[in-house]
Formats: sequence, C-alpha cells, structure tokens
Amino acid sequence: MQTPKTILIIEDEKSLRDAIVDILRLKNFLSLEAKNGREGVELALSKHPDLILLDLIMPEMDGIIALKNIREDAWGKKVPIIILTNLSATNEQFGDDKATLKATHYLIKSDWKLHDIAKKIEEILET
Amino acid sequence: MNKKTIISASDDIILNLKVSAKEKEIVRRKLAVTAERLAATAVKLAITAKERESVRIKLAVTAEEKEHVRLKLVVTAEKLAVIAEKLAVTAEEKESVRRKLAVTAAKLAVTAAKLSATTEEKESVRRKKLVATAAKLAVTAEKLAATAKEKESVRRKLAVTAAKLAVTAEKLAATAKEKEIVRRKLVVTAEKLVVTAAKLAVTAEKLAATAAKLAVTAKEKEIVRRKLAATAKEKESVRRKLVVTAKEKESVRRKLVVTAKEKESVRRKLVVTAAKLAVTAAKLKKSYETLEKKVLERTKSLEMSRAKEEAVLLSIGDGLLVTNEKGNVIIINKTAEKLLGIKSKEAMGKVFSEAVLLVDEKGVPIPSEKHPVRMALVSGITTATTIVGSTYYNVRKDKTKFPVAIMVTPVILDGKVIGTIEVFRDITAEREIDKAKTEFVSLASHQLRTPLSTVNWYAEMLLAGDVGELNEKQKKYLDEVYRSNQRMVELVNALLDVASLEIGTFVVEPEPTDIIELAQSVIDEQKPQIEAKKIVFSFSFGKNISLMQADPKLLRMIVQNILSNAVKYTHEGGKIDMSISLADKNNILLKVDDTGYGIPQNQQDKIFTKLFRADNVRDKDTDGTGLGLYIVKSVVENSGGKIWFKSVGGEENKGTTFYVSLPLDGAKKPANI
Repeated sequence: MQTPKTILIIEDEKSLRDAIVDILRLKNFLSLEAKNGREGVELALSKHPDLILLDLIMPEMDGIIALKNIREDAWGKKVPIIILTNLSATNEQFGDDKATLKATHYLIKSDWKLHDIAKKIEEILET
Repeated sequence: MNKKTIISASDDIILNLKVSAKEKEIVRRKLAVTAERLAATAVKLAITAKERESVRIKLAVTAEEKEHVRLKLVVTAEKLAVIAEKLAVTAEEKESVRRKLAVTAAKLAVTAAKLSATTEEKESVRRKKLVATAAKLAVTAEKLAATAKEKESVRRKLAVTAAKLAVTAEKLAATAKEKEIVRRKLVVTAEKLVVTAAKLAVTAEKLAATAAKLAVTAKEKEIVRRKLAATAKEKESVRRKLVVTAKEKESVRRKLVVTAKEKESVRRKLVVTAAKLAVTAAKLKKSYETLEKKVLERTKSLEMSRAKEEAVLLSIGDGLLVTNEKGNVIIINKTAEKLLGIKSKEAMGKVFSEAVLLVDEKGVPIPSEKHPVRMALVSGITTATTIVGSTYYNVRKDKTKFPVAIMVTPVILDGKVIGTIEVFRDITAEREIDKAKTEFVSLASHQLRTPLSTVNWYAEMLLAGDVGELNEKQKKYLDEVYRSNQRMVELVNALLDVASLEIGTFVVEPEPTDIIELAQSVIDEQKPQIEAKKIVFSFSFGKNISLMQADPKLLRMIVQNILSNAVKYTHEGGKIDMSISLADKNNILLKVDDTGYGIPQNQQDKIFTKLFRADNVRDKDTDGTGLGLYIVKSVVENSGGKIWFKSVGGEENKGTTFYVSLPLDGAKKPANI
C-alpha cells in the first residue's frame, strides 16, 4: 500500500473546501486546508504537499499572489498546482505572468464534477 | 435795199434757227447785217428826203418833174410798205425765235430741274448755274419779246406812213391844180418825211441798238450756248454717266428690287424673329433675374450651409483631424484642440504624426506603418482602433496621455486617396467602465458559481452514493435538483462568455488541436440525448485532416453548440448527419445537417442575434438561452472563420444545415488593430 499523497486545499469557501476534503478522503488522499492565500503559502512551504488545489479569489491574499510566492520557492517551482476556481480567466488577471506562473491546470469548479477532479489529481500524481 | 437778199437772209435765218442752236450765231450775224442794212436804209432814206427836197425845188420849177417825183414817192411808199411788211415778218420771226428760246429755256429749266432731281447732291452747283442760265435766258427772251414789240410798233407806224404816202401820192395824181397845195403839202410831207427820216434814223439807231443788243444778246447767248454746249457736253457725259449709272442703278435697282424683296422677306422674318427675340429676351431677362435671384438665394443658402457644416464640423463632440493626401493637417476641430490641449494653429499644416503624438501604453511612439492615418492613406480603407487589442494613447501638450479610440476614414475621389478624416475620442471613461465590467464579470462568475458549485458537488456525491445509497424517488428528486443546477451553471457560463466577448476579455489560446478527436468527444457527451430522442446519427470525416491551430476550448464550444442545437431542435426519430472535411487547402468545414424544425424564413436573419429565439422552438424547448449562436458566430468570426446555414422552417420541417468554416492555421487576430 502506497503512502497516501497529501493535497493542500487553498479555498476560502468552507462548504466547497469540506466537499473537496470529503472526496479526497474517499480517494485515500490526505488533505491540508487553508482558508486564504497567506495560510496556503505558509502550509505549502512548511508541509511540502504533493499537490496544491488553489482558489483565486480569497481574502487576505489572493491565489495569484499565493502562486507567485510558492513558485519563488525552490521546492515550490516543481509542485503541481491546479487552479480550481469559479473565476473566468481573463488576460488582464493573468497578464503576461501566466506562463511564468506555470499552473499545471486551470479548472472551473462549476464545470467540474468532484469525482472528475479527484480523477485528474490521480492522473497528475501518477505521472 | 435788195428785197431778195433780205428775204433770202431771213429765210436762212429761219432755216438756220430751225436747224440748231449752233446756228444762232449765224442768225445773229445776219440780224446784225440786217440791222446795218436797216441803218444804211435809214441813211439812204435821209438822203432820199434831201433829194426830195431838191425834187420839190425842182417841182416848183416844173410840174412834170413833180409827177415824176410823185411816181417815185409812190414807189418809195411801196418800198416802205414792203419794208414794213418785212419788218413785220422779221418781228414775227423774232417772236418765233423768242418763243423757241422760251421753249428752250423752259426745257433747260426742266433739264435743270431734272438734273437737280437726279444729281441733287452731286450736281447742286451745276444745277444752280443752269437755273441761273435759264433765268438769264428767260430775261433775254423777255427782252427779245420787248424788242419785238417795239419793232412791231415801228412797223405799224411805217405801215401807217406808207399808207399816208400812198394817199398823198394819190392826191398828187388826182389834180394838177391842187399840185401847189400838194406841193405845199409835200413841203409839209417832205418836212414830215424829214421827221420820218429822222424818226427812221432813230428807229434805225434803235434797230442798230437793238442789233447791238441782239449782238450782245447773241454774245451772251453764245456764252450761254457755249456754256450750254459745255453744259450739254457735261450733261451728255453726265447723261452718259447717268445712263451708265442709270443702267447700273437699274441693275442695282433690279438687284435692289430683288434684294429689297429678299430684304423685305428677311426684314419680315427679322421682324418676326425680332418679336420672338424680344419675347425670348423678355423671358431671358426674367429667367436671368430669376436665376440671379436663385443664385443669390443659393449662394446665401450655400454660405449658410457651409457655415453650418463648418460649425457642425468644428463642434462635433469627438476630436476631428482632417489631413490632405500627404498627411498634413488641414482641419482640426475644437474638441480635438481641447482633448490635446493645443491650439489649431499649432497643428495646422504639420504632418499628422508630428501634430499629434500617438504612443502605446508604455509611451513608445506607434510606428508610422501602424498609425491609423498612415494605414488609411496607404490602403484607402477605413482603419480603426478598438477596445479589443492593445490600446493607443494620444499625448497632450503637457505630456500626459489618454487612451484613445481612433477611426480614420480615407477621403477617396476618383479612386484616389486625397486625404483622411480622423475622428478620435478619449476612452478613459470607457476604459473605466470596461474595468468595472470586467470586475463585475469576475465577481459574478465567482459569486454566482460558488453556490452553484456547492449544490453541484454535494448533489453529485449524494447521487454517486458516496454517503450511502438513495432510494429511487430520492435519486429522481436529487437528479432534478442537479440538472436544474447544471442549467443554471450553463446559463451563467453563457452570460459570462457573452460578457467576455463583448468587453474583449475572451482568452484565445491557440494550440495544435485534433478537431476529429474533439468532435468525437462532443458527440460522446451528447450521446445520451441523441439516444433518448432515438435520433439516427452519423458522423463522417476526411482522412487527410491534420491538426489545426485553434483554441480547443473555443473549438469545443463551437462544435458543441451546433450539435446540441441540432439534437435539441430535431424530432424524436429524426436524423442528424455531421461531417468534417477540408473546404479547401486552408480551411476545414464542419457541417451539421438535421431534419428538425427548421428556422422560420422570416426570422432567419435574426438567428445570430443575441437572446433571439425562433418562434417555432420557443415553446418546444424552454432551456434555450438565445445566446449559443450569438457566441458561436462571435467566436467563429473572431477566429477568421465563417458560419452560415440553409434551413426550411415552418410547416415543412425540412430541417437545417449549419456550416462552419475555420482556418487551419489558427485563429487569426481580428482585422482591427
């Protein structure tokens, strides 16, 4: 039996965070929870999770800044990060930084079923 | 005195006078001779008287001699009677001459009058001379008439004398006794004869004077004649000339007559023409006045309209900058002055790029070939900046800048660009609105989707039995919740897409995409609905279709929309054929052919309009948003593709075929800058 992978969930909306935690537990993942960008960055850099699910619009620190902070870290450069948000991506929000930010995937919550998200995580971690 | 001589001479005179005026001289001379002879006769009569005195003396001596004397006296008396008769004849001749002269004078007067009539202007002097000459001739004729009368009187006296002498002679012959008485009477008679002789002498002198006068008259006549001759010659020459002239005049006259007729006809025509011309002139004058008035009015109205246009141009709310064909500024309006913080004279005549500095967001000047004015000048096509794509900024005089929307229209005359009209406006406010919109979209997408996501995910887990199995009824109810939520998610997504398209924040990320695989996945997604409606579905594709450069997200959206519409709007048991092929070497063609409801003919032009739903499907399917085709058309056209359809709507239910062509080399940037 493999060591369960740890997934960091950076999401300010508790109901959504709980749902994700539930599905990940069902799929035998360990979950770390952060309710804003600042907490997320702290947890990421201290716990070094195997994958990060990142929301964008959050109080205190938004997802973009959190992403930048993580990517600035040596470990953080390589960690897979899935942006899981309800925000329609616009050029203005990402600007020219998108490439350098190197989010692994960009998923719209309302378009994705939880099981599909879990499946996606498994796929990423297997490769 | 020789009778015959006188008669002959007189005859000659008569003849000569009858012949011609030229012979008047001869007549005159003969008259002079006659006069001389008369004088001689008078002298002789004086002598005869003396001789009679001596005879009387001799009679006193002898009565026989008296008888002889008496006989001689009788003879003398007879001679005197003859002379008297001749004188009478002479007088008559003179009278005839006078008359002829009068006639001649009258003719001359007529000639003169004619001359005066014919050559009034040219020959006035000559005419006057002729009149004078005629007058003189008249005077001469009158004198001659007077002379003739005197002669007549002399003649009568001579006749009387001759009669008395005859009586005396008869008395002398009657009685010898009375001879003494007769002698004494003879003395008296002799004395009387002396007196008579003296009288005769006087008469002779008078005759001589008359002759002299006649000579003078003759001379004058000669002069007159010569003058007349000269005049005649002149007249002749004049006449000939006049004849020639007259002929010429005649020919001229005839011509003139002809000409006159023609002239008359011409004149009449001219009169008619003149009348017409007068009418025309009046009309022309009127129309000229009207025209003048109109021109004035027109000029005035043009002036006004020009002033208005200028005022309109200068007062337009947007900045206006007009250049000539070289790109030099020729008009700049007040709004432009205000926007740029310059005075029009600072920009006038300058080339557009110097008159107004155009930069990008970082303040770097826009290269000339990308400047809308230059592009319009070169291409002759209206060029505009839009809110999609990079923003241009105009630099004010104080070096601050503002975002600007520019539309440059080339002014084309006879296919040649002769200038440009740049209309521009400060879009700072619009930018702010756009930003607000974008923020709203972010907010809406986030805020609306978050609860939807929550419902979605929990319903999903419940339905999946992650937290325990549900009974059928529970599953059915929860499925309704889930599906409605799903529709809500789709609606929100569509609204967000529309908003993104409209504010230009739609992200396009082209990458090599396999459209066949993508289409297949869309078909798989739609399969449950297709099967539920028992639709006969087929999909075919060309084998030579390579990967195309496209944003898979958008491509998926296109295919999905077209196919789901076909499925939605086709009856149960209908048919849908989908195919993907190469339209040409640069474009692929997606074709979706259904046997559905079709699009009503009168609504086909509205089918791509935002929020539009055709009448014949609104009741059948309440799910539709009226946004799908609008979004698809926007995406297709922004990708450099085309979308069209063929449809037979209404009662015929012949279905619809949608076509989408897309470039293989990927979404081209919009034509706008």
